[in-house]
Amino acid sequence: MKKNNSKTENIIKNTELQEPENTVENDEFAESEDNPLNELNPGELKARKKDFEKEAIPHMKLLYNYALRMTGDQLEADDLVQDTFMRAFRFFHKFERGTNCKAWLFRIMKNCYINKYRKNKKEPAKVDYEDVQNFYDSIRDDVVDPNDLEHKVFSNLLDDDLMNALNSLQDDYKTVVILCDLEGLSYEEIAEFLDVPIGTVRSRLHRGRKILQKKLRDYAKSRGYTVESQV
Amino acid sequence: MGQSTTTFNIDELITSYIDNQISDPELKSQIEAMLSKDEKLMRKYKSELLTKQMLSSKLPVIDVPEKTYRNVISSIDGIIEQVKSRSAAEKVEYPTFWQTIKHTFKAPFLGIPRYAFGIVAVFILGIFLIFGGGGKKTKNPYILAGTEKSIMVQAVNSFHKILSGDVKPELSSSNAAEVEKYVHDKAHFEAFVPKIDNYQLTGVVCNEYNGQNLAHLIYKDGHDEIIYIYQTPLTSVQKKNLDLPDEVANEITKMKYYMCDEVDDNNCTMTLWYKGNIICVSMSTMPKKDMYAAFSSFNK
Repeated sequence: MKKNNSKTENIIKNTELQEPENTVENDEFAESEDNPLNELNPGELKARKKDFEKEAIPHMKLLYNYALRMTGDQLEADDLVQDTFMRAFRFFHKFERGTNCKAWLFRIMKNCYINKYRKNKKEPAKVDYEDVQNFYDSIRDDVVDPNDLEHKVFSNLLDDDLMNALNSLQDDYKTVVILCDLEGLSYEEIAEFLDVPIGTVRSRLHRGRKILQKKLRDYAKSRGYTVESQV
Repeated sequence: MGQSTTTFNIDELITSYIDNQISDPELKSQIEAMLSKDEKLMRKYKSELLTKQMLSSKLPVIDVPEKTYRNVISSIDGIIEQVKSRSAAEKVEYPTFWQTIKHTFKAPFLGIPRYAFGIVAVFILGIFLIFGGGGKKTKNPYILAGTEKSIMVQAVNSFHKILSGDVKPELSSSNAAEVEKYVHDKAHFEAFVPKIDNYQLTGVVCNEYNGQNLAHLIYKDGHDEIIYIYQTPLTSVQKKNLDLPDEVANEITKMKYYMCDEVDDNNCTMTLWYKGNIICVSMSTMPKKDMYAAFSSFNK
């Protein structure tokens, strides 16, 4: 098993990991001097609002939750949601009817987050996945069945610990973890949202969760819980 | 799913299995068989499953707060209003004017060439614009779209009345305590009477609009330049006796103030902020940069 793992890990390592995007160039939804709404008459504006309320507004919950977890701050999440919907309304003529409006809105939010909000945030320190993998393997070799104990220890962690652990993930990992584990989207949907292959979604998800596990163990250790020594 | 299983990391297959993303029943059975045979793999599976469950139980999906929802809807309404008022202004200023000129030159009327009427019309229009008919133009979309109930529109209008001398202080005083007491007695709220560097408090006027008490403070410097502060309790907006655009209210909440220039023909600067339960709006002929410095100093 181990042998197969290392063979396949190399393939994944070479194809999957990318540097996080710093800015989205040629963002078609960026704010500009030209407001496409100026070309509409009052009747068309009214129709657009009605259409927008029907197609886009129902997805606000998903976007709000994503914004809240990405920014980790309610005020920033509010702003991000507002910015996203303002841009979406302005460029609603670019949305192709019959396609996935949720994914379209998500892309606007993602661009908006990268260009406007992430600029002010410090990118989390990169975690070497190899280290996480080795760490995981080593503790497992020492213990008999730590799952129950791990469950007890993790359950006693604060919500803030979990939030901090999530915030420590790089955006690419954090995004898939939020969309899959918090929002309950399928791999296919996430792949469409992010415009990446399903394999990339799976790989990021696996790595993201592993890094989270390590972080949570670190928090547990700092609070006096030690899974290994208690077994 | 099945096409590239040979290149899959078994750990990642477990991830897919946890997320119920394996549709191939054969592959699913293979994974289950591996899990039952390999204890270490089973522990990894349980541990990853626990992490997933922890996330969804400790960070549940929450409903959009009512305030966030309202902000989005009112922002969209705000954009629509801006576009409407802009297009209305364009329609009035340009096409009508040129169409009128063109028409004027087309045919005689009562034996007199129509352009003669046109010249007279232009002359009258010029007089109208020069002697006060032009009104105070603004580039601020909220003032442009505001009604009489708008706090911003009221502040601009009151400021102009003070500048023109149409409104004079009811109480002339440079004593802040005296002004505070006057507002308390007349308008029944606690006014914010700041000390402003290089400006002296000269007096106050109180009045009522739509059942809402207002206070107007006037400050002057040595060159008779004025800083005017309009004040009213926050409840005036909550009760909808007065209007404050949501976007401006949001900006004040976020930044602690909202400042804009080019408020009228004189490029006046307007600043809005909350002081306790009071909404304050200052107007000044100072440029934005200077007003910001003054505001930062007196609103500590």
